[in-house]
Amino acid sequence: MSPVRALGRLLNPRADLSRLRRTRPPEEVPERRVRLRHILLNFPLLVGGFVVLTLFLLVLFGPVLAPENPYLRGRRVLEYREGTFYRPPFPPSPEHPLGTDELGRDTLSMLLYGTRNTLVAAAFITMTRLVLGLILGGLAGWYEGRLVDRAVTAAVQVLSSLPMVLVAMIVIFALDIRRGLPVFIVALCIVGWGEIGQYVRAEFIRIKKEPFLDSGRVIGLTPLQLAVRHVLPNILPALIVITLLEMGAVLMILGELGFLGVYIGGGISIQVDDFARRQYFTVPEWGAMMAGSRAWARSRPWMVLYPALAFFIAVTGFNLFGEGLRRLIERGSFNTGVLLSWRSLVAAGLITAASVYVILTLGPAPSYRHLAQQIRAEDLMRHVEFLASPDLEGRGIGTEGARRAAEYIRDEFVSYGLTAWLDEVEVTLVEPVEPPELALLDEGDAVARSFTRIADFGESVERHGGSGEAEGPVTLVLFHPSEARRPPSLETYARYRGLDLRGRVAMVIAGNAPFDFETEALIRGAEGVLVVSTDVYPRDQVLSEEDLEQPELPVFRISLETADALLAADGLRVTDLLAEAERLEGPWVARDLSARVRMRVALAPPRPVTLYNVLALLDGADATLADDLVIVSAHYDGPGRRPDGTLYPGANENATGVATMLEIARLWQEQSFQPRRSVLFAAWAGGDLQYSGAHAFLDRPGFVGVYRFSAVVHLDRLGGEGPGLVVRQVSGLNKLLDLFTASAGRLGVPAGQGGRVLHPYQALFQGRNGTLIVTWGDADPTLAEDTAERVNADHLSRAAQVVNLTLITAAHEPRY
Amino acid sequence: MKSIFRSAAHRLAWADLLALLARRLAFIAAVAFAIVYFCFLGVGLRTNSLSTGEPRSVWAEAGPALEDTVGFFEALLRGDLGYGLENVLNTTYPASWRLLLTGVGVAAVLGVVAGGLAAAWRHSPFALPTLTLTVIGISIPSFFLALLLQVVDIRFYQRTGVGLFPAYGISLHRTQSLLPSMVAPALVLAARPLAHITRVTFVALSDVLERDFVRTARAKGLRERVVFWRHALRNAGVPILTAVLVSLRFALGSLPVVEVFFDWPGVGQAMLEGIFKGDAQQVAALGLTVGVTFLLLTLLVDLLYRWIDPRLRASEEGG
Repeated sequence: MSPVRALGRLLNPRADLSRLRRTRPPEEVPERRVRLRHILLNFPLLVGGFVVLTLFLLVLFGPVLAPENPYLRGRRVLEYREGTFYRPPFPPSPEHPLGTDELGRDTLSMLLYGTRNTLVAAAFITMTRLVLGLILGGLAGWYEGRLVDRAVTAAVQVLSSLPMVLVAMIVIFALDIRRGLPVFIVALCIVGWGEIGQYVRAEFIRIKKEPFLDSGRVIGLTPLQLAVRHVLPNILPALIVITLLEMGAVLMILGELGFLGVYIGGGISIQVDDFARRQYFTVPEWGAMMAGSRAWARSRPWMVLYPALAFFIAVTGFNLFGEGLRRLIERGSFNTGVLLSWRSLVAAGLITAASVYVILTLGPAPSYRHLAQQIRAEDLMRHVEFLASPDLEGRGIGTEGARRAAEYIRDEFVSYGLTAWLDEVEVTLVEPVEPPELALLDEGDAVARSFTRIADFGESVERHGGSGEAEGPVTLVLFHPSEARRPPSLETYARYRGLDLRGRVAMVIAGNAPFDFETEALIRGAEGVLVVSTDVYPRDQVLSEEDLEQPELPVFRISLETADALLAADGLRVTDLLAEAERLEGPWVARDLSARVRMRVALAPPRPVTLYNVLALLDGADATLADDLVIVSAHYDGPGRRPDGTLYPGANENATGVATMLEIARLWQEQSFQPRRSVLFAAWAGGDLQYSGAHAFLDRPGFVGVYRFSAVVHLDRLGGEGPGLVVRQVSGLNKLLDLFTASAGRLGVPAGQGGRVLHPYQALFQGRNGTLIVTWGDADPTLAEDTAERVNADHLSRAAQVVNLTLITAAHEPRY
Repeated sequence: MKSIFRSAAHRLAWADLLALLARRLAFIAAVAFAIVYFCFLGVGLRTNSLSTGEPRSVWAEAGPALEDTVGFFEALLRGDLGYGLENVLNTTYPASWRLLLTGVGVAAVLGVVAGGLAAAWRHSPFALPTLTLTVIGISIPSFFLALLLQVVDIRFYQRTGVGLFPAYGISLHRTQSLLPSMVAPALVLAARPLAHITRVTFVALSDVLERDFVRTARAKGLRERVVFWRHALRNAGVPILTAVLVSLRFALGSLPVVEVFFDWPGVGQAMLEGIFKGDAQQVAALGLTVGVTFLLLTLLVDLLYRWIDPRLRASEEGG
């Protein structure tokens, strides 16, 4: 019948009897199978199915299609086109087909990346709604009229009597929006299960009265079995339709919430000026893109029209698909029993697994990895080669070479576009005028074995330590462990009654000896003192007025190996001695050894030296996180050229650490990666000193008070040999360590815990989430042969990748 | 004898009705308490988690929120409406309902007409596309339609120099009529209800028009108009009325968005403000008024059902 005739009939005062003449078509016998023509003639199913399929493909492959990566891209501030400066938001142009937002981020890219976040969130919310609605509605329907039923019905009434968006907002804020997606799932599930619940309840009531349920009861099925095996399959077709419609509803409310400025995670706030803060989202998501749309809707409609259009298309797609499916099911031509078969379960499982795989390979985590892997090995080696070149004389502390290295590092930072500066530190150093000597003598006072400075021993200028010459037999003084803990007192004189060290060289073990035994040894007539220690780096820095106090005597710190060599003649070892000390009856025991040694050191007068820390600061983009500081730390100088002429090029230690730092800074700037936390790249001077540039930096007011140290990574010896990365947790929580291990795992680089504090400054910083010392391998390098050629470029670049990935995450993720 | 029975039955019906009313009003009172408690709890949790920086446990807040709620109702019973409630009742509440009722009213009228026409032509090839169109109509997010209207309005103004309607807010001169500024928000609010009511009317009427009693009515020689409007439409009345109520809920759902977008000083915007400011009193007052109004409307619709459909009365009396 034509519409015109129908309208005419409707308005016609006379009865139209034409209908009575028409015979109704014979009842169609529903076909079992879905025929292609059913689908092709079903417009909503076709269009809806197409939209839903497209959205699914975008969820998987959206990131591939996007022109740029919004996770890494920060802001665009100005653009210069055809003689005019433009400020974001940029209107649609060939470069940005859908324009940009007010931070200059490409709208199309964010939409494509955001499809996944929005739709996955919506799917999760829909599923939880479905489950909750099924359970509560089912319970209410099954126990119709009882307390459960009344409670559920009342709850539905309460929820539906208030605007859903506002109820959802209250719940989201109450649970703290910063917790992210789970809060949204909970909130939108709480406010939205009512419709499904009501439907399920009504269906349960209807089906409960059907005879086949009585049969089920008769054969002894429990209520749960009845509900799951007999009621559920009956409402399954309708549930599938409802799920699709619900998906549309969830998307709609996500859009509305986004419009009102409530989106997953809540975004970050950026300080605009002294008073104003603005909220920005960092994770691309359609709802988030809607936020603030009201402010821009009039002047920059493209900014909000496209996300809104995306919502409209998605909601329409799901609703049409649901409608089409409903028509198909109503025709009876679609057997939903198919969905419960094993085959479809396997298919669903496969699709899910494939989706999860794709999502894990394309997304924020993979994009971090991609950025991390763009470290260029040749750049790293270029830095190492420059820093370790003979021109710089090994960058000895306080030398011209070190100063040139510092300027090189600063200039590199500046050329990347970072703010970098030299930070001057005044220290007082003492230098030996000739190479200090420690030798083991044989009976005829000839040198039986000569030891190497820095590797085997190092002189110390602490307190009475200084220039002098000593030659004589060694006396080992061993203390009861309680002695080391005793506070120094005036009774000391009486305590060491009978200790005669005249004409001898005293040897003590650091940690076993009481504080300042050197002075006591001097009083007792010792010619020189040997302190067995793990740290034998020469301590020729004057730290206080007590240092280099007159009279002086040579004080050498000797390594465990050196000590064992001296003890060998008596068949002793340091470890045995420490065990023996535990069993001592008196406070101390002196044992004359058969070894004779010669110590000689001549020091020049102390002179002031200026050190230069190189600091570069990258400001955090997030106002709340910008006070958190991530410190990338390495020292750039080293022993340099020694009085005897040996050159320590210092390539692995520590040009590699500095090179890694520089390369990371370059990469971040080049890829315009903007961390949310502030990042300090610090190349310290005087890394070997007891009071290094880092100490001075920390002691200075200002910087330290402004920032909270969130994470500290010390880079050291990254181009060494060994099976893999060695990381040492110095302080703080284990978060950074876990992150580091996970990053190494993701990049397939072996990493293990171990190592030790290699330089005094490394134990200094307290990163809240962790302080790490990262090295490759834990073997001590041979300093004299530490040239750039010996640096393992492959290890260095892989180490740099792991460090980079760790830092990207630590600097960018609010929580990790 | 017969008349006595009838009056007894009548009295019984009235007693039933009163009992029903009493039960429902008691329920509304309980729900009102729940709504206010929910508002105090939710807003309190947020305020506390903002001040301490840590999310606060729900259990820690449950007690104080209950005290606040009781305090709120005590004040209410003393006749002290509080600044929140008084303000709400005077300004935002009427503004919102004006918008809501206009939107849904327009939608209901247009929807029933459109649905009725579609049902009358249900065998024509246009019927199914109408159904599909309503699906698309239901899918239009309010913010999208609002944006679209605004863009269209601006474009139209740029082309012709004539504004279609004020696309933004209430005009500052309150002496002027509110009507022009209501056009856009009411249109946006009406869109989804219109689609929904059209759809339900179409489905319900199509169903009824195929029933036997309609054929009987035609066979009796009743005019088609009478058959359609009196017999068919009244029988489809319950689902249509339900659809109107559900639509009102849709409209209420998008009310905050529409009010914010068009800067309409209504309940939704005030409640949003309250939530962002952490003003629990205001949120509770607004939630209470809106919630109770809605519950009363539901009750009214339930009573209307009984008036429209005598079978509902009978079933209740019988059971």
